[in-house]
Amino acid sequence: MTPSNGLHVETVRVLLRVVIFLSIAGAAISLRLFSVIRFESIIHEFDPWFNYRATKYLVLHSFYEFLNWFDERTWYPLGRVTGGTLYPGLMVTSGAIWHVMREWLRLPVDIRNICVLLAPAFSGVTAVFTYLLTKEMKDGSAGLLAALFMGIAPGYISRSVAGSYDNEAIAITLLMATFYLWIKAMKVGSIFYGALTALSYFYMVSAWGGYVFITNLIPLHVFVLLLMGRYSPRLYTAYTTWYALGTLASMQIPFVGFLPIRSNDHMAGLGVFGLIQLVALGAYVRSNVPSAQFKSFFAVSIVLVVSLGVLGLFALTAAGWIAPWTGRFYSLWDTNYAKIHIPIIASVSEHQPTPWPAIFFDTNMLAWLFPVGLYYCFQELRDEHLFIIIYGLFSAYFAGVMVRLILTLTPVMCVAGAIALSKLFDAYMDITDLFKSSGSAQASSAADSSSETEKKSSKRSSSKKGFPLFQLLTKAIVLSSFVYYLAYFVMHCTWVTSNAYSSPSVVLPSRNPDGSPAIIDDYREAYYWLRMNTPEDAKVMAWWDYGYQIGGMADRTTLVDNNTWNNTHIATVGKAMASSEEVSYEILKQHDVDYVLVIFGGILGYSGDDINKFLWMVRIAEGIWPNEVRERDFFTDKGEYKVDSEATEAMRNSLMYKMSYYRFTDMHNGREAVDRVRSQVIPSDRKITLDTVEEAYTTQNWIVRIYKVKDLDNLGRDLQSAGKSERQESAAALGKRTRNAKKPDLDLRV
Amino acid sequence: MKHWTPVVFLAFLWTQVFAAYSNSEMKTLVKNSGSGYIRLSEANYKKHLYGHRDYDVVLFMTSQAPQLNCVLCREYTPAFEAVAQLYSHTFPEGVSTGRDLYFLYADFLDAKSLFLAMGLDLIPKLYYMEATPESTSDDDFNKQNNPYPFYQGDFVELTNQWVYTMTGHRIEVYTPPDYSKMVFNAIATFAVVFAFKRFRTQIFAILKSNYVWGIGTIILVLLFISGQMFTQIRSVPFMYEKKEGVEVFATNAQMQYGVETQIVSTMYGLMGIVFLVLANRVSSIKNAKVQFMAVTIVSVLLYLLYSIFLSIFNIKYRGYPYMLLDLGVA
Repeated sequence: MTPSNGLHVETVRVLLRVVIFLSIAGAAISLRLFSVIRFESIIHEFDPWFNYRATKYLVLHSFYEFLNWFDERTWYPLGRVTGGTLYPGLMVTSGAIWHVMREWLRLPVDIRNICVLLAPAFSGVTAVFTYLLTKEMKDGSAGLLAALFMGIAPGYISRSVAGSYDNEAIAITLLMATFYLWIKAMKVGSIFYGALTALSYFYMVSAWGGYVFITNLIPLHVFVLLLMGRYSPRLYTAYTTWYALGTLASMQIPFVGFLPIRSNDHMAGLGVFGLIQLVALGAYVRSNVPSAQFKSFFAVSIVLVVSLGVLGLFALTAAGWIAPWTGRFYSLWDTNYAKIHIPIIASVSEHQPTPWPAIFFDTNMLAWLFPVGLYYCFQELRDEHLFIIIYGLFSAYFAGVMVRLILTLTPVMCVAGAIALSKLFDAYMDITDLFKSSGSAQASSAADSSSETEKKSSKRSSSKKGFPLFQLLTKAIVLSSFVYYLAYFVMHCTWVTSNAYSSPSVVLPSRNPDGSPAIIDDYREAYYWLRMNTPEDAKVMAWWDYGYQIGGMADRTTLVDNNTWNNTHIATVGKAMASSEEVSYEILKQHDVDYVLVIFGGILGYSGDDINKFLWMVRIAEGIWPNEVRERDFFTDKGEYKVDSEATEAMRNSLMYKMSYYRFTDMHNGREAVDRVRSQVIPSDRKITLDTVEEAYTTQNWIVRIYKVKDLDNLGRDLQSAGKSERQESAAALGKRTRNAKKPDLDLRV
Repeated sequence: MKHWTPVVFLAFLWTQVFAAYSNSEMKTLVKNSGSGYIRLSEANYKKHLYGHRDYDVVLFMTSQAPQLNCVLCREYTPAFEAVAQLYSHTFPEGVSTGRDLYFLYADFLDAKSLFLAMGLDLIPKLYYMEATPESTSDDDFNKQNNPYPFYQGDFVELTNQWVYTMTGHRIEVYTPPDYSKMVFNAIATFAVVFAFKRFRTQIFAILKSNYVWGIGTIILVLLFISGQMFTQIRSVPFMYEKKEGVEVFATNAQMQYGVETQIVSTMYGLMGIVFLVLANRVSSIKNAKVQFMAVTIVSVLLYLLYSIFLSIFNIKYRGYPYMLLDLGVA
């Protein structure tokens, strides 16, 4: 055929690919919009609220002001060096998009909408990079499959639905970009791609603490390649370029600083950098001297290098130049360590190990295609396949240890699964040669390229006679069954996303008595109350989970928040909550607290409330003041955690208990006051009184209760006695009024 | 006065029969036990606890029985053993000041009546019981028990601290040199070095073999994605024994038993192998009819396997709406 015809086929192919990409991106983005459609364009959960607040700060101030931002509205009275203790990549990205939209495209977009929709938009980009990465492993069709998987796999969606404005939202995109560029650099051996890898790595470092994963994975890949004797100048060029540029660049992030040359987490990169210099030297020497001399040279240098290296490492650690293993990193190896020594880590449910249903839930059929993909990688075992194998093995381990790291496992599952599935499709999809050979008589005039004629001649013998019914049926069975599995995969992903990952957790879905959908919006009700009714510099004390939300939505100063950098401060808040009023009042006054906010689910049956988190407050406080707060005191003799009439003395006197159940029995008008979370009856005969704080606001469903801390007494009494005498007076007044009511004035007024 | 003598004598006999062991008897018993603590049984618990004692005891009520499935018992028992061992090491001949302390260990299966007598409905329990005066009747042994609060943390350290606050005996923490481990390590090192010297070429061949690495990696990955780390970190039981029979699958997506890891990884592996057969072997069959048959069989097999797997997943995840073939399992 004419060359123009070939060009035509190529154009159609490119066009098709673009259309497929657009559909994948469309599917990926629309699948993440459940929460926006069901609720509204709202930032989710806790951490995203901080990111959102920081982004707002960035777009309202200059970049340098942002980097030097000292936030005195959190961790009162300590404040937080926010600019130096965050990963700015996410905020800078949305800030840049905002500026481009406003100033170049003249689109006045609200920064909130950019923040909400950033994660879905980036998921489309992730699909592209996954395609490119998989294309390097196998071919374009595998790449398309991988992009499809990546677009809709729940393991990634869980962190990138609309509104989940968190570092992971862009970090996974950058992870895939870095990996693709690294593979490209390693294959081509070009400084250009090496530098691009470093650039993408820098972006990744600026966006997420998980960059350490890359920092260790690429050196490990290189190390294994060196062990297997696959050293090449291309590898040397790629690695040294990436390492030198990437490390220097990563040190520009204020939060990272000198970590890359000091902490043990980063030492693998440096070690391999040194090793590859030695290997390069060895390769050079080898090419210039006879092999006998080279052997002795090799032996002597190995011994020298190893002993020097070990000595150096010990010396540096002993001299305190290298940081010891950090707690968070340690918990990767041994979660028991974290459970015992760092209650804050144990109290975060994301640091729990993963049971198998969680992995299947997040990846569906990829879970069993993944090992098959690894098998194919082992079969070919080119340099880039090794990367997938190492990445797969390690991320599988990490995902098993920590639930949230399923996020890093999902991409490699998509790539490996796509490789496996496309191998199957390669074997069964191609029906062209069946028809070509049977219809070759008619098409004999068309002299195709030489390769196609070869193929034709090889197939001619197999299907000379008539219509290839059985071949077609064979292919139909395999293809239809796998199309069926894929359809199921899509349905599974949609269901999981819709049911498990699309709740903003700021607003809660519920149903009216008649079954119509309703929304419980107590959090925002309370936060807006704080915003509208309290002085701008009011200090609000709440448990750290709600710190970011109070900062973001209520715009008030908080004592502790989700950036849990100061354990003692958190323990202080825990102690204030767990102690009796007298002790608490002192703490509250010392910290200038104006309002105290508690979350209470007893009316609605909302189980994530503060009474259920209370034990963690006690535990964390006990870690600092073991003599003043004791976990044991909050359990009954039988070892039960009770809030009803059997509740312990310490429990009933704690500020948290009082604030949660204050007026709770009055609400029930003599009926049994049942706490619907813990299914326990709150005794109505023991009236809960509060002397040091007064109720300021309680939301519609009682989820959020806000108390105002009373000022010191005017007459210099302590607040307990003041409250007592006030209660007596009011009781007396009540008695007087009833007496008055008994004899109404019925006389005519003259 | 005279006619009182038989009564006194009888009373004396009575106390002799039912009074607990004396301090010196306990000392030899503990020494002979070798473990630093005494195991209670139906036969001997009365002799250890009832009546007059001139020494303190720490009583550990627990059970290792799989049907009771007491996770905390399993977690805590090594700490108890360690503390008892450390105590007997710190005070080999008893304490110089104050009363002696002995560690008692009661397993539910060995001493059911003791558990009944104490009216326990929760285990584990660790009690500190002070020495009892002469006039103690049998039922009073449980009058003064100071339970140990099972806080999370380093159990050995916490228990030591607790014993110290209760008795005032400071237990020295020291780690005994584990000779068996040292010998084992020495032998292992020697064996490895020897094997390396002797079979160098073979070992290198194995180390260089793609098959070995491939199979190893894939097995590891299969274990990791089917919850091996969960079972290890949480030390969950292998399976759960109930009255109606054995529960193999925990009916909760946040929880799993040890056997589930094996089942699930096998299922994943089987599906993978069937997939490989379909993609690599069956596709290269030349005869069209044979290929058709093979494809049908293998596809149906894969479908069945996936259906079984999804039924299992349905047991774990109540309310999950999809299923391939209803096998009536869930």
